[in-house]
Amino acid sequence: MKKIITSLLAIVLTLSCMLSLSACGSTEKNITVVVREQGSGTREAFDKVVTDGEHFLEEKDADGKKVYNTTNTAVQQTKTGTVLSAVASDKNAIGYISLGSLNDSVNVVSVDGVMPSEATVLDGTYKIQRPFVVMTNANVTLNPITADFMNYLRSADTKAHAEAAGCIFLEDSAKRANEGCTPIEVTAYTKQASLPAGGKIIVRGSTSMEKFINAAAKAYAELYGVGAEEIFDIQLEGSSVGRKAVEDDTNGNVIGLSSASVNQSDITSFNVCLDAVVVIVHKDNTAISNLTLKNLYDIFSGRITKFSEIGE
Amino acid sequence: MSKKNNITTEFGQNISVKNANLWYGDFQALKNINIEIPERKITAFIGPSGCGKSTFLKCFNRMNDLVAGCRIEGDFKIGEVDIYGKTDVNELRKNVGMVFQKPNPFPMSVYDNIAYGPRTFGIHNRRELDAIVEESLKSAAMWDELKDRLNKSALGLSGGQQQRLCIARALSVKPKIILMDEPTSALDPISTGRIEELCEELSKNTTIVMVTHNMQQATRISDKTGFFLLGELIEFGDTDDIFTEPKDERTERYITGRFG
Amino acid sequence: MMNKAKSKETFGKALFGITAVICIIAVIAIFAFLIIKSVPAFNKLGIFDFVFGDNWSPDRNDTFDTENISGSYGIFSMIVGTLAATVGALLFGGVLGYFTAVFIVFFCPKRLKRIFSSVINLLAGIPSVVYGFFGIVFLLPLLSNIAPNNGSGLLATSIILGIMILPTVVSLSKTSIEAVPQQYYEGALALGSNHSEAAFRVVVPAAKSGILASLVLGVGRALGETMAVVMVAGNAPTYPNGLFNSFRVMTANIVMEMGYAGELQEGALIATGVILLIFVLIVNVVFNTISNRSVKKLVDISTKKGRAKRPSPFGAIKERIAAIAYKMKIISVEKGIAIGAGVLSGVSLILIIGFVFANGLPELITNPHLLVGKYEFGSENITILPSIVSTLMAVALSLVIAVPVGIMTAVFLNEYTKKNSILVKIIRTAIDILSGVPSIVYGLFGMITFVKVFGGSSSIIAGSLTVSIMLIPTIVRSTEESLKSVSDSLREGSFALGAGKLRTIFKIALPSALPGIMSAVILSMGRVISESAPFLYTMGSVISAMPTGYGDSGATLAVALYQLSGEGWYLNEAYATAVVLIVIVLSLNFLAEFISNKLTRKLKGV
Repeated sequence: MKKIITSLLAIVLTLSCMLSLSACGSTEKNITVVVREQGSGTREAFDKVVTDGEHFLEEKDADGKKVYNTTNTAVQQTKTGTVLSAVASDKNAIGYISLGSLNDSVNVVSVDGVMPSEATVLDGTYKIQRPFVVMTNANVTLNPITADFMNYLRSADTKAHAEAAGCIFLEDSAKRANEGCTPIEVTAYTKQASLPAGGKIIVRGSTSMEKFINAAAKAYAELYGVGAEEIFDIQLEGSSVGRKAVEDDTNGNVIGLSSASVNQSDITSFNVCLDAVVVIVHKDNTAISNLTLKNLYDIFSGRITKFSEIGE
Repeated sequence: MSKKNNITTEFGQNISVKNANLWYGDFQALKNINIEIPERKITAFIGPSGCGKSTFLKCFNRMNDLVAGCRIEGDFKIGEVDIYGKTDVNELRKNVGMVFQKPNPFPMSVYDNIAYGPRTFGIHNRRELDAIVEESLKSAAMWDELKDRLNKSALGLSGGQQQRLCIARALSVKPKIILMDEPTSALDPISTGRIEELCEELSKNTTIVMVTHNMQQATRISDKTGFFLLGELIEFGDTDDIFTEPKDERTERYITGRFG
Repeated sequence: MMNKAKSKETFGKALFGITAVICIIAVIAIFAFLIIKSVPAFNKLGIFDFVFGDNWSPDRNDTFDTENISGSYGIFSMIVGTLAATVGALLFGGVLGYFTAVFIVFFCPKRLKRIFSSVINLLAGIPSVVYGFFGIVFLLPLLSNIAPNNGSGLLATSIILGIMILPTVVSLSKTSIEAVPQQYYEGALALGSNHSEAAFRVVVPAAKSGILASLVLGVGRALGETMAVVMVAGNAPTYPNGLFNSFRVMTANIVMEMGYAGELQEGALIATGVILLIFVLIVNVVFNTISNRSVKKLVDISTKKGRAKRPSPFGAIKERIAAIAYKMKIISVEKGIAIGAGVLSGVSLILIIGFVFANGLPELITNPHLLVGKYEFGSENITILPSIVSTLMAVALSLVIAVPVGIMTAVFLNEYTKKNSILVKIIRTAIDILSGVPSIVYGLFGMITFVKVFGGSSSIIAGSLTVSIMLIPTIVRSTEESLKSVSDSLREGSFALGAGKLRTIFKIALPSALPGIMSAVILSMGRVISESAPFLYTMGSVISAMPTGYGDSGATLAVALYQLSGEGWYLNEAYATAVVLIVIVLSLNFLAEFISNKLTRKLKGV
């Protein structure tokens, strides 16, 4: 028995060595495709827009089966920050993050010749965009403090926080609601006489909305002269986590954040900002400054494995 | 293979020791021992526990090397070979076999136990090994008992069988001398009898040096007897002489059971 | 008077009985939960399609009632990935561990021997996130030089897992080699073998079963490992095609997706846990068989009767190989490998600890804010003080729950029940099984039970409850072991003096078992501190504000390290956190050993 195991091990070792040797053959390194996990709003927004004209990175096939066309060799990161650092530290990497989380450690690539900006997102010329959504459970009554903070988030006061976070505040009441639903107006917020009761507000969801929610929470807490950490429990682990937390909420104290549009009967939601998903490469990778949606599809689906193959 | 060929002729079958002293750290376990052990005879060492007889026995195949803090002085010669000189210790142990107090067959089959020694010295021919196994077992008078269970574990044998197997195993490398350290102390009288018979048979071709606590055993089978006390060799001579008319008073007191 | 004493006894028995029942309910609950929650998924997806399908594209909107599910749920690629990683770990850790054990026993200079052994044992206590972190900061950059990608994949995973199973393999193999009677060694020498030959041809083969068992235990650990693998495997749900391709193991699948899984997806993840559990169970059974057989085997190697008296046809080939090996002086090669392995193990351990400390200590010194600073909301100037507090809160609560329940259950099983009652045997087996369940499965359980109970969001109380269930089997087992080692004559002596059962338990049995129990408790503390998988989705995963109560969420230190190590921006903070974590866990290990030695000596009256 032991002999059999030993020989099996030997075979596996030999095979894997051969595989690795064959993989080492060429000189130009493969593109490191950095993606977010499947529960991420950023991933969803990116996958549903990037196309070669026929297929999308995330689509449903003829039988209604969900298909992910992202390459198997992609490295998955579970946070905006980790994508950023993975790309910043790898000359052959390409990834995508929220516009608001962008910093100068990486280069931005224009998509179909359009650089992401407030103007190009609002007029729709920059294709890879998505709303930032604030959600609560539709079937529970929110406790006073959570309800009050929701009022604050719906108000025009949040515009400053959106701008501070680098995303585009939505003033168009029709766009603030899901398509075909009652428009949601930007309201005015009136400060309560004292801090409403209800304990901590639990915030879960998209890591892309971290800057926005932190700014909003801090300002709200300052209104009442308390520390934000005293009234907020903020843990951001992805849009889907936020959606799930809202669905599971029984105490009426959970606010979910999603960076992909939400249309669920058990969730009350509104779109607070618009955001672009920007494609990023390493700082030294100046050769790549523009990619088409098809280029992106080819890279992220693994059809192209080297930057030199682009445009062939 | 080279190991096997060039030394077999060198080791003799008689042991000659001059001025042997041995210390365990600060404790002197052997004091100025001189002895001439004749070839192809059975020599027995007797004496009370802790008198140094086992320690002395282990000097002949240098098993004392394993003991930390052990220091040995004196001339130890087997035939003409100085065993603490430039001799290869493994070669020495091949020529000077040993049987231990407690039977210690390896946890392998009977066959592998006996083939272990030859294999160590490079014999890997199946036919050759088969022959050695058969011959060794025959010499130990075990062939008929064991020929049908060569592949069984040696640990399944009875205590007496195990000890005889150990003797067969020692024989497999054709030693010139076999050391036996109280080989029957863990065995019942019938097994003891078998081993004694075996020893007498083996002594036709091999020198046997045996430590024993059992004075009847010494009288029954040994040709020569040495009496040890507190690290000294008190008396050494023909077994008959030692037991009938000991020269030293201490020997007499011991063999008549008055101390020890 | 008599009645009062009697009612006290009855009360005591009832109390022990009730805790035992609670414990048993917890055990049953986990199995029931796994079965109830996974059966609908198995039904919906089909066991065959689930196990042998290799497309994992879940859709969180799928429910058990969805007519045409849009996701695909096949975990075969992950089963293959898990097995490949385990085999890889065996190749590195198993082989290295085997030779290291031989090295320690036979070739290590005497002075180094004890230090070496205890260092290897300490390694077993290092949290798996630290290994994963080491993988990210050291191994992946190193491998990326020869890899077409960033270095993650099967090779990195195998190496990290290999180092992780090393202590298990080494200490168990070492114990079984040392248990081989010295007379075998002497016997071999007396036949003219040299030191290496005696070691490799007689003593080590005699310890074969023990060594094999140690490898099997290593396999068990590799199968259930989660966080370290998640950090270096890449985690794409595909087959491991080559050494440097992203792949996913079963534990990683659970931890990656359980945070946001929809109904069917959640079922599929629990089903993944069930499949994983089946693998672990198989490993346990194999381990037990080998350990039991090792005793029998020493008595008789081949029990088959009437086997040919000459060895099998392979005999001749084996002999031929042995002849070649002899000519090539393989034995000195083996000796060389053993010494090399010993050195390599030593070096890799020093490397891990040294590398982490060299990078982390300066950060700890220059950035005191990290350790003792006040949490500032939204600030990038992070502090791990809240994490330390959360960790301590979790340790306290989980021990308060697990220790009494565990000890009382053990007392009930050992002192009140008949030794051979079938029910007790079943309970014991269940507890044994539970102690082998991968911690991520507990996390899954906690997320779906405790988190739901406490309002649907992670909280320290939910995390502590989850991990306390995880601790119970270990505490029950080690308490039972300690109680068993208390000689019955002591109990009889107490009864003979007219003492009741309760008095005997509290005054005689438990005090004598105290050293064992104490060290189990301290090691449990260490385990709570080093675990991360069960906490991620039950207690919280983000370094945040100082918790104000058990209802708050908070990341433990290990989870904080996991988070920080992913964030490229906080690498220095991550190093420092790793240092803090290692220091705490290792001092607990020392403490456990110290207390147990001291108490044992005190009991013996030395």
